[in-house]
Order: sequence, then C-alpha cells, then structure tokens
Amino acid sequence: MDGVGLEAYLIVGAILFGCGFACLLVKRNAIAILMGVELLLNGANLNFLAFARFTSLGLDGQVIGLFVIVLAAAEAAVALAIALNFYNNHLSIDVDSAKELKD
Amino acid sequence: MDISVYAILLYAGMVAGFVVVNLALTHLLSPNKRTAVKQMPYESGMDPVGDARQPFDVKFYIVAILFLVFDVELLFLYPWAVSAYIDDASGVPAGLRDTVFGVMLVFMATLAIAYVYAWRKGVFKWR
Amino acid sequence: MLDALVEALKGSLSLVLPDIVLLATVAVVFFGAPFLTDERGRSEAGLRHRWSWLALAAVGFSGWLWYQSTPVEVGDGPFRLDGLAWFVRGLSLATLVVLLLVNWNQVPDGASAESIGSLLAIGAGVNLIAASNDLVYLFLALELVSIPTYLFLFLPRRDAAAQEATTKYFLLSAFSSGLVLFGMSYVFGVVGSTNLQVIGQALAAGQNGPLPMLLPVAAILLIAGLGFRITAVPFHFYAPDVFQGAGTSGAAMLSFVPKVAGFVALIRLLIPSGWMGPDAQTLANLTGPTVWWLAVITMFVGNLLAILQTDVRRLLAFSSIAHAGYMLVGFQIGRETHAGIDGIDALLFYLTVYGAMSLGAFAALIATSDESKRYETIDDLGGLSRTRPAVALLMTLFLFSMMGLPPTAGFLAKLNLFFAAWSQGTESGRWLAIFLAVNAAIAAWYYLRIIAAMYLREPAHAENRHQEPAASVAMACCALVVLGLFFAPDWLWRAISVVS
Repeated sequence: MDGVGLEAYLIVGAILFGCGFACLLVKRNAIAILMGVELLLNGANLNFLAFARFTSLGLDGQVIGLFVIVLAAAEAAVALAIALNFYNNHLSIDVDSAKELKD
Repeated sequence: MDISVYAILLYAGMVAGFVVVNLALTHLLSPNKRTAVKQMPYESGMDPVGDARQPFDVKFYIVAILFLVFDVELLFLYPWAVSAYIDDASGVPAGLRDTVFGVMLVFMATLAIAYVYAWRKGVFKWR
Repeated sequence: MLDALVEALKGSLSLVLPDIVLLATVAVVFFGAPFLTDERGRSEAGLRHRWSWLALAAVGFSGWLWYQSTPVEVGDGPFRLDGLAWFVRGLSLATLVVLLLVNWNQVPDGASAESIGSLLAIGAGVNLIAASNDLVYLFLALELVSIPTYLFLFLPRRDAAAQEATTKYFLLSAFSSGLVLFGMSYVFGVVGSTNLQVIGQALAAGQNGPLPMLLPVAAILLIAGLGFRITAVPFHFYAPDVFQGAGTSGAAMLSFVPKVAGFVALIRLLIPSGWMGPDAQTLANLTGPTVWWLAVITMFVGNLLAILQTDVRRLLAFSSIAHAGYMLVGFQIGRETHAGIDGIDALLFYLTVYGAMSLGAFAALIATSDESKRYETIDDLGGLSRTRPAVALLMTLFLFSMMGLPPTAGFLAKLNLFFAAWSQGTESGRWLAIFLAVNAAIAAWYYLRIIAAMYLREPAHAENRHQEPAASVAMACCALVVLGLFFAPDWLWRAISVVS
C-alpha cells in the first residue's frame, strides 16, 4: 500500500467526474449520456471508498458505495425503458432528433 | 488430512455429478427434432452469420432491464449473510438480529412484489 | 452502549411511520395493479378512481399519524423528527391530496395504479428528505423522489412530446444526482461522518479536517445539483420544455414537489439546524456570494423570459423559475437576520404559498380542458370569463397571488422575503430586496396578460361544459389556502415557528 495515498484516489475520482461531465456536454446519444452519468456516480463512489479506506470510518463509506451501485442500476433500468420507448417513437436514440419541444 | 478438505472434495464431486447426470438425462429424455434453426450454433438468439452491428431485438432489452435490477438488488443480501450471525464485534449485535432479519424479509417481499408485477405484465413471455 | 445504539435504531423507525404507511401502500398498489389489467394494459373503466380513493385513504391515515406526532430531539439515529421534518411532512401530505385530485382523470385506467403509486412514493421521498439525519438516507430519499417522477411524467400521455420531456428530465435529473453525490463524497471525506448533525457541528466548530479546500467545491456541487431540482438559473433550461411536453398533472407536480425537495435538502445540507451564531462556519457561507448571484440571475432570467412566452405552460415554467429565485433570496439571507424576519422562515412561508397558487393554476388548466382539447396558449384562454366564469375568477386569484397583490397570501409571502432581506442590515441584503421588488413589478406584466386575455377577449372556443369535479375541488382547496393565509397568516406562522 505504500506510495498510493488518498490523494491519488481523489484525483482519479475527479478525473472520472470530469469525463462524465464532458460526456454529458459533448455526447448526443441518450445512452452515451447515461454512461456519462454512470461515470459521475462512480467517480463519487470511488471517493467514498477511498475516504473509507484511508480514514477511521471504514464501513460507512463502503455501505454508501453499495447503495450507489444499486441506485445506478435502478436509474439505468428506468433509462433503458425510456430509451426503448424513445427508440420506438423516433427510431433513433439521438437526443437531437427530439425536436418536438422548441420555443 | 483436515476434515474440511473432504468437504471440498465432496462438493466438487457433487458438482461434477450434477453436470454429468443433467447432460445425460437431457440427451436421453428430450425429443430430438433436427430442424435447420436448431442445428445452428447457439448465439443468444442472434443470427450467427452476417453483420455483427445489427440492432438487438427489443425483447432482449426487457430481460436485460429485469436482470439488471434483480441482480444488483442481491448485493444487499451478501453483507447481511456474512455478518448476521457472527458473535464478535464485526457481526450484527445480538439484540438487533431479529430486527435486521425482519428488515431483510421486508426487502425480499418487496422484490417478490416486483417479480410478481413483471410476471403478470408478461415480461417473461417470449413474444 | 451497544444496547443504547440498538434501541436508538429501533426507535428511529417510529419517526418515519407516516412514510412507512405511504410506502406500504405503494407496495400494495404495485402488487394489485397487474392483476386488474389485461395483457394489453387495459382495464375496466373507473379503476383509476378506486386507486385514487385508496391513495387518499392512505394519505389520510398517514396524515393522522403525522398529526399525532410531535418534534423530538435530534439523536444519532438515521432519522430525525425535528421541526423542519414535521413541517415538511404536513406540507407534502397536503400536496399529495391536491395532486391526487389533480391527477384524478389524467391517466388511462390501465396505467393509473403505476401513476398513483409513483405519486405516493414521491410524497414519501419528500418526507424522508426532511426526516433523514444521514447523508446516505438523504441521497436515497432524493432518488426516491426523482425515480418515480420519471414514471409519473411518462404515464399520462405517451406521445412523442411527453416522451421527449421525460427523457430530458431524466437525463438532467440523473446528472444532478451525480453532482449531489460527488459533493456529498467530499463532505463525508473532509468531516469524516455521514451524520448530518455531526457534520453541521464539526463545520461550525471549524474542524475542517486534512483537506479543507474540498469544502467549497463540495458546497458548489451541492448547490449546482440541487439547483436543478429547484430550477435555479443556469440549471433551469429543461423546465419549459418539460412543462410543455408532460401532461398537466405531471407539470403541476414538477412545478412544486422538486422545489420542496431541493430547498429542504439545501437547508439540511448547507444550513445546519440549531442556531450556532452568525460567525459559525456553514457550507452555505463557504461559497461566498454564489447563492446571492444565483438568486438575482434566477429572478431576472425567469421573469424576462416569461414575458416572451405564448404557451401557458412554458409561461408557468418560467414563472416557477422566477419564484425559485425569490425563494433563493430567503435562502441567501438564511438565519442571519439581526432583527425582523428569519430568511428560512420567510422561505418556508413562500414555499407553502407558492405550492397553493401554482398547483391551483394547474388545476384550473385541467378543469377547463377536456380530453380532446388542451389549453395550450394564452389565446386558448381568451374569453374564459364568459365560458367558465368560476374557473376564470379562481385563476385570476392565483395569478394575483403570484404577482404578490393583496388580498392574497402571495402578497404576504413576498413582503416577508422583502423584509427579511432588507432587515439583514447589509448592503447586499438591501440590493436583494430591491431586486425582488423590481422583479415583482416585471412579473406583473405577463400575469396581467393572461388575466386580460381571460376577461377582455372574445371566447376563443365554443362553449365548453366539460366538468372535472376533482380538479375543481383541488382548485377550491388551493384558493382557500391562498385567501385564508392572507387573512390568517398566523396559522402558518405557528407551524413554521416549530422549525426554528
């Protein structure tokens, strides 16, 4: 465990967060945006686990990690269902093809 | 030899036996019609020859959604299973075991409701 | 010591009994739903009304439990029942009743169980946000609000516009959850606890841990993530599209419930309970003037863009953005008032009144539309005073309240915020008060445009005799609150005084 400290984990978490953020700004595909969201959540998750590992409060962080994984799965399930319906209507999951609502 | 090694050997033997018996039974008992579709290599219901970038059938997504949810929900069972009945500090305190067990039952009941919902909605029918 | 912990955990369940009732009803509804519809999702007519009655009964029982409960001291357990939790629970249960009435005829019978179940889950989620005493529970409760919201938006109408609205809301809502969670992870790491009470006390005592520079980042992330929920500019852009595309009951829910969720979560996370003195460190005052700017920009953008709208729902969406800006004024003032009205109290008063007037306006839209004809633009509302005089009158009342004119509770609500900002005694507080007044004047323009259309124009449509009794009842309840709180504001102040 020598060498790799808390900061390294936090930096990786922040990079994951940045990737997710960029994904949301750049991607036009609904599924790709969802992947970006997963990156955000997992970046946060990594932070929780790193803090749990390097501070005195072990279990708390791990339990949060577990909850976040389950939550991400629930969101992904809803997202897939929505994307499925979206696909059936537009025959595409490109969010730019959604043009019903423009002012 | 340590007693636990026998247990592992017994377990390995049972697993192997289970596989062999099942394979033999299906081979002997199943009706055997050789149609063109059945002779194809199994590729999860996809056409094995041709462009791999064809869209999946919608039916797969519904099963995938269901699998995703139930698979991940089971994550909650593992921590409970390993810590529920341990008597040292890492386990659930004795006074709390009944409560935690009740909570797990409620959790399982919720999952069962979700399962019944999906079943009645016809998710498991291959249409 | 361990036994005490066990007892505390067991006891904490009794703090969330009303929410357990709601969630148990959700389970019953989802269990029963598939047995009452056939394979194609059709069912006998009137099923939605029976589910609604069941839901109303559950909310009633939950409300009775709530009425019996009194705030208790905040402990170490996962839940708490302090003044804010008590107040928010009452507010959200009342909101649930109104929303159930608004939603009465808005979903097809085959999808009614899911819609009503989602609504109850959303209500329980709002309650649990206020009742959580732990980062994990707070986050889970936020998700318990947002995931059923997707369903609730999606179920009433399945056309392309509704799907697009749901997709947009989903993607941004999931994104905002990510931001909130990331902010929480830094708070957890720096302070070293998941307990909100412990976090608040540690911050107030200035125990910033080994990585104090993460705290402002965390606060900004939390404000940004929850800013999506309360539609603060620049996190507002989804709101007009979603309001326009989703069904009317979905838009009504979206105009109010996420705001309650967002503001309560903001108060919980950024302004710890218990008065700790004006100089105590909180996450809120670590962010410097961020919230101040957020409030000013939100007010101006909401109101100025609302003037340009012709679609009623889009207009109400921008108006709800502007109202979020007003409430952010109260949040910025916080508990720092030296004399006069407390900023958070003024915010909660405004939130309650805003709920009544916003839900009332949407109920009025539902009461005038039938299945074949939805009221989309301001022109559609033209001459409503001739065809539906009662609805037009109540709509006018709600719009007056949104403008902040007497004799409506909206007047008192704006006045409270104004005085709270003014009496803070700082330059920035005075400017906030002035901007609030300027914006109230700007807003009058577009509200008056709707009223003028209803009263001065010729009817745009042939006589519309369509009756929606449930929506009318909801509208009457909201009107009662809007009028009643003007003449007897003490009734609400007493409830709010429990909070602080």
